[in-house]
Amino acid sequence: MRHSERLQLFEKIRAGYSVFLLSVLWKLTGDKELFAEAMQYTLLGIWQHVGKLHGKKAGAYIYRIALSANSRAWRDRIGRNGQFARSRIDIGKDPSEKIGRLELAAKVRRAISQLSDKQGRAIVMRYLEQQDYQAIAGNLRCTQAGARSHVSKAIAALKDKLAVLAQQE
Amino acid sequence: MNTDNIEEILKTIGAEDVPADVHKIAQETSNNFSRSLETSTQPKQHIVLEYIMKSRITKLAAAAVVIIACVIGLSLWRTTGSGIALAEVLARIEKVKAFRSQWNAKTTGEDPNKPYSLETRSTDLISQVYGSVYKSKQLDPNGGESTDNEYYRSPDKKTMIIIWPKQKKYRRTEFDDVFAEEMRRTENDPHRLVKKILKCKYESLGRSTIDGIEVEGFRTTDPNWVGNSKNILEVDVKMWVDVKTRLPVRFDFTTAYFDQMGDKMSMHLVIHDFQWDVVVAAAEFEPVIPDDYTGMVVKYPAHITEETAIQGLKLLVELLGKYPEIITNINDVDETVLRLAEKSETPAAMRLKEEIKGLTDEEISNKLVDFLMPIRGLAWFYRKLGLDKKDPAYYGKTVTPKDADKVLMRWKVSNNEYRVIYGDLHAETVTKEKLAELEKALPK
Repeated sequence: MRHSERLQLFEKIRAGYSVFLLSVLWKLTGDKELFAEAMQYTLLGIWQHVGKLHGKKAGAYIYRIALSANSRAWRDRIGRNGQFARSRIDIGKDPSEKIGRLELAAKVRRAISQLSDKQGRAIVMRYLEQQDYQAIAGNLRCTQAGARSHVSKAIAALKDKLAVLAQQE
Repeated sequence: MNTDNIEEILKTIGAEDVPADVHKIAQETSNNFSRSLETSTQPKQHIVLEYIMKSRITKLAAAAVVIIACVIGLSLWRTTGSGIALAEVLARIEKVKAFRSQWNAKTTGEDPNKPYSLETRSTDLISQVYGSVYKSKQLDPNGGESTDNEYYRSPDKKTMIIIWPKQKKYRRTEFDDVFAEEMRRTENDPHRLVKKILKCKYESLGRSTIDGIEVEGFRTTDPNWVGNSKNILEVDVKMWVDVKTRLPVRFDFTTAYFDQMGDKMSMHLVIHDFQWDVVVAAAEFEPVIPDDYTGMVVKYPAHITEETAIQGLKLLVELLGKYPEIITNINDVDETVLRLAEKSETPAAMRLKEEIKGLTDEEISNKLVDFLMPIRGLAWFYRKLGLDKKDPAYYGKTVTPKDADKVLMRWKVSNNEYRVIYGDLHAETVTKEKLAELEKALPK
């Protein structure tokens, strides 16, 4: 594919999925620096795989790219200091409660970044995008019962990951 | 670490809005990436790696990123074929301090006993600082005299004052914290409407001209537009945005649904004649009430919770001897309760009738300011559940105060759980499956 065609295709995909990427990556990271990192890796992933991102499977690829970019961003963060960027939190009237809540959310986000591709997608679709099971089944190409099963297993896996994280602390 | 509430945490994360500065960071990150692809003549893989290396340093200067993003007009957000992104429209509205607009609404109800049709016209003035003023005229469908209303909403003071000039009357309502916050963005506020469109599936209608202004149209027919989509018959929402200013020029929407009593209700609303960024003065938001007007006060509990709702239901049983068939609209609580109590022979109703005997409407209302507060709290609690899409339901038509095992009211608290208030007013959380069993057993 010529560079100009590839660029054109990249821009089209970027525009088409920008709202999705903005929303999902922010919900997965919850931190501006991590978000910028995850966004960069996502754009890189889209550019690298732009030739495959057409037709019915494009949406599924984008999900994978975004989740993989999110995991990579969290790995980089954990490699550096392993901590949630508390300094960026807007601490209000009840700092201890707010920090506790934000830290718990950050731990859940970090645990999501460690889930398998399918479990990560199930969690994102069900909770972060608030899709119903019919839509999730369509996206994961399975039955509604299968979609429920993926979400349940993902929640169970998430609990395990959080338990491991708690032991490490 | 307690892992039992993971679903709650996930839902909280899922409900988070993206902050405006994150929009800008995303925009700048994306634009930088695209520019690095377009302008360099180096081998492509190298370009990207160089970009990543550079961006790792530059992104630390987040403030600089934000400032640059404000200058660059390229859009990251999803754009339609002709180029306007709705997120951009939303961001533009947020910058407006005050605006004027007009709206016309026609509501028709197919109540088999009493079909009705209402037409309302209103001019609005909304300020981010002072609140809002609505001056509306409800037209008599039979060609009779119209009803004029003036609404003054002040979120900071937590009050809404309605004036009926022809009747020389006014009502001052004092709200709870949550309700007051809701008042900042009313149902027909363009900011709220654009946010709602963004949450729905929508399409571009392309470009056209309205009143000499080049506009781009957007449309959604997504049933999610209305909270309780089970009862929806039709949704057709259109918005046109000025191509130059990125601000709405006109909204036109039609919705039809079954109301609480199962009757078809439809509404057609047009919002138009926007004047954006108008200069306003505080005095425009302060009602001037002539001395010869009579007034009444309506108060809501300061904090409305499940317990408030239970207290409201308890008071209704004391007054009526049973539960009302529906939870009344928040605007009609006092009138509805008094009408129902009039027919009741319970000791509480008899006492109430004795106390208000011979009093004027205003005197009655002022006498009952505190007495009816729990029922107003119940009405607002139930309405808020609907606004928050918590799938509320109420079965006062068939459930009695003796029905300790029957669901009187319920709402969703998590993906798999519902909170239930039973006929005897005890409450518990049950699974979705248990609720299905309970509702199956309800009298038809």
